Amino acid sequence: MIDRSLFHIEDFLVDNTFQEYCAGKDKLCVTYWENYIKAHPEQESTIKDAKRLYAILSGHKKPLNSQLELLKKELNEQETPQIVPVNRYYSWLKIAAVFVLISGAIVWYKNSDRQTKSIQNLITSYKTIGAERKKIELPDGTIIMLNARSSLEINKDFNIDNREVTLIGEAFFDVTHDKNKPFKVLTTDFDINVLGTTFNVKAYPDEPTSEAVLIKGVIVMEGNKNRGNSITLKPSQKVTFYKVKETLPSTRQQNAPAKYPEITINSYTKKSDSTIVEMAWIQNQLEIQDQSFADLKKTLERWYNVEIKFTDNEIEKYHFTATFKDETLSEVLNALQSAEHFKYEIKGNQVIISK
Amino acid sequence: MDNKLVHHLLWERLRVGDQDAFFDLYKALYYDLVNFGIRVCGDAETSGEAADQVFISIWEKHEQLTRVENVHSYLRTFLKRKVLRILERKRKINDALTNAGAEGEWMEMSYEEFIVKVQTDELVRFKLKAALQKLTYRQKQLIHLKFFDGLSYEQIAEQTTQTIKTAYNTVYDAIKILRKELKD
Repeated sequence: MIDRSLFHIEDFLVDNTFQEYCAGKDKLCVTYWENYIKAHPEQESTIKDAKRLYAILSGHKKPLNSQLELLKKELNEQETPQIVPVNRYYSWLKIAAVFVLISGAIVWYKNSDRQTKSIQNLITSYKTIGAERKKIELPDGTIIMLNARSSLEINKDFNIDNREVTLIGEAFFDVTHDKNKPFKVLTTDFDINVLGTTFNVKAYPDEPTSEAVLIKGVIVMEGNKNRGNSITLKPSQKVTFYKVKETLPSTRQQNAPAKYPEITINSYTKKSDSTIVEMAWIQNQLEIQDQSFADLKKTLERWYNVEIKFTDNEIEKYHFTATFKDETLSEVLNALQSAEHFKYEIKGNQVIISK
Repeated sequence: MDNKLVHHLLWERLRVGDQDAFFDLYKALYYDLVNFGIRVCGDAETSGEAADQVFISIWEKHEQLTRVENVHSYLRTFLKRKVLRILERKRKINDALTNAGAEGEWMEMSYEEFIVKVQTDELVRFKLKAALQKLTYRQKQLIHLKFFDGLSYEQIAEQTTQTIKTAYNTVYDAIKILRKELKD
């Protein structure tokens, strides 16, 4: 055995095994030095100084073994399904909230004005039923893809002095640039003002949130009602509006954090193969990204034109991540069954999902 | 390089959901990523957080991962994005942009520069800067390879074309100088 009684910091630190111990890389070295320290309390302070110098020179990296343990723990925790609020709330929105109070009255006034006007001027409207999609080309060259169970109304004087459309449901817009005639999408929760851009809007009345995702260009969003607000969106950003609590399904309310922010801005979800989750429907792709069954229900109902019923609250809490393309409803449900245990029964357009 | 193939095989196993392969890849590349992060942002905390995020995301999305020619550089690119995002969040966007350059060209700092920057203790920072100046070029180089990159004496000897004995002695002398200078 080496006599280390007269060891200085450098004598410890120059030793390969001691370095491995500090880095937490090698289990054997770690055990050896831990035991050594226990057996030689008189050298504790020298060893402590040696470890300090190691930390300084190595850039204060955390020991590999403890980091790996943390990671393993984290992965295990994630295996139990849980609802994690993914949206990040930017504090500048709080500042915007002050603006809301000031502009609220103005927006409200504009609203009441608009509703009467748009009813008179409607001439063209497009509607899709469940499982249906429509591609619409407007007189100005703008292309719109209308998703299932949605409707789009085009004002009579569209393209004369303005370009206004009203949307219920989900649509993808590729707007032709015209700086003299701003393009406006009206929804129940917000209005979108653009010159020429590419974006997706999802505003189904029966969903707890409405959202807009910008792919290209710039859009300015104005919130409606008295919580109205103006937000400028940059490409790849996504705005989510949380509707008033009463419209939330009961299951969501139970699990939801005490308070939802009214609006969040975050980035759209891009997968490694560059599919943008929010846009996947245009390619006929059904993208499920860590969604609860309760959330997924509406999507599936529209996608396959069915009505889904759950017999058990527990099932609604199941979470899934998956990608489907061209699969039938039973193929989708079969695939989901491999992730979580449930039974289903399809009778015409009724689907019953039970435990 | 041998390692490249090893990483590649681990990556392929990771893609099919092999958790052991994932942990092996972590062990093989975690420090490399953290080091790289420190070199570009000069902040150990941010770099560690970003490396954690990189690994967590590749595990979570392992089913969607594509075949990658060079795992090492793929993960480095991934890390850069994470670092930038964290810095953005910390409202240190200016720091990030300074380091990132105008078009995302990341400048790597020298050991002397980033190892001082990475210290959170003002006094240590000051002393370390002075201490490093007392070292010869060779001593600094070996301290870098030994303690930051975590190479063995064999690897250092090979890389710097000197004997293991010389490498060992150089490191020893350098630590002795640093120890005296950095005494608290």
